[in-house]
Amino acid sequence: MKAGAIAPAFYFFTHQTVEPRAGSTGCVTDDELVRLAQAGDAGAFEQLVVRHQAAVFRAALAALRVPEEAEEAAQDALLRAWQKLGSFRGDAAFRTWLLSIAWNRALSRRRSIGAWFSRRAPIEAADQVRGDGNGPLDAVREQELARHVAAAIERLSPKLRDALLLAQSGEYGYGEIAAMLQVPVGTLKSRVFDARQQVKQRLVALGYMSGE
Amino acid sequence: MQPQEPREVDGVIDTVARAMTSARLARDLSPAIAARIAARIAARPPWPMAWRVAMAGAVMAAVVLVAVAWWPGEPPAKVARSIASESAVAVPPQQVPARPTTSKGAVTEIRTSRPPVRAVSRQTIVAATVAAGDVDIRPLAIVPVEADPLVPLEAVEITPIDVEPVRIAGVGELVE
Repeated sequence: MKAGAIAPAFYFFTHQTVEPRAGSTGCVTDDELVRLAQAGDAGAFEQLVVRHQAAVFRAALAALRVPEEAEEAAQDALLRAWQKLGSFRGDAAFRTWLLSIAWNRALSRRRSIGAWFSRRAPIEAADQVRGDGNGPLDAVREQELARHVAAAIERLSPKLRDALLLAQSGEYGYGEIAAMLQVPVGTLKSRVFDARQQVKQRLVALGYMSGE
Repeated sequence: MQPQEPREVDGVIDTVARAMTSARLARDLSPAIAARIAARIAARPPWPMAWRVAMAGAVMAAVVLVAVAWWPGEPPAKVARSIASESAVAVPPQQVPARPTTSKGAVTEIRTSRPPVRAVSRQTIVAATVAAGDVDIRPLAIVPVEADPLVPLEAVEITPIDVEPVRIAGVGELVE
């Protein structure tokens, strides 16, 4: 990821980065597409891929934080979903089921590239954050704070970091994240809170905040 | 360094966390997925069910064959033949099949092949001289079994065991 490649100050990203293609299945629900795909309709599954690939990619990115790796993991997860489609009974939403597969595949990939990943995991995201301060000094200070925050997030335990990144991605509801992480919603909220607290403690140690 | 407001820091945490998962998906994955699915479908054999059924049938046949070959009982035809020949020639006890079986016919076979009951005569022991100090242990008498009128009596001579007189010198007066 290139620093500053994406950009305006304190922006919010659109969640769907790849627009769904218009087609005859545009008004069809996920459930109907799933039924068609389960009957062997590869086109229906392709439509499901179009709908959910961005969410799958972002889940993988939250786990791996390297776009190339996340893309590989997303493809892997989507193929896996096709293979396991016969076992989908509709107990949960298809998207939730798909995200759980994606998360597990991404975690598996993270484990396999653990050592390399720990060296490579970028903090460059902080460079994308620019303060809305009035002067150049404010901008520099905001940038520096963002770097420290990114570093503090990187140092969190995987459990807390995953919860925080997924929750703040803006892509998923708490229910979906809880299903992905296989924890109750209450536990998830607690983890997000703890993650914030630990990041703040590091900022206090750096003098960005008072300890009160 | 000027301390930040907690709310401001919360905002920065939110923004940085969001930015860390904000990379865009560079390309549409659906064509690649569709191509890989199509390749898998093309590579899949057109007769998977027939193949599975045939394999299952072959496995079951193999299991049945092995079970028949290794079954621990004798075939029923053989048992019937032994029953038929039972009336003519008495089967020695050693040749009676001892394996348990659930077949009713086989149970009958076992009962009919029991050796005939033989009467046992009273055993007597030749009087032996008992020296002073020896303990005389007399053998138990065996009561003759009541004769079966259907079975011809056949006397069996059982040689008594040759028991040497026992001397218990160490017990002393404890022995009566």
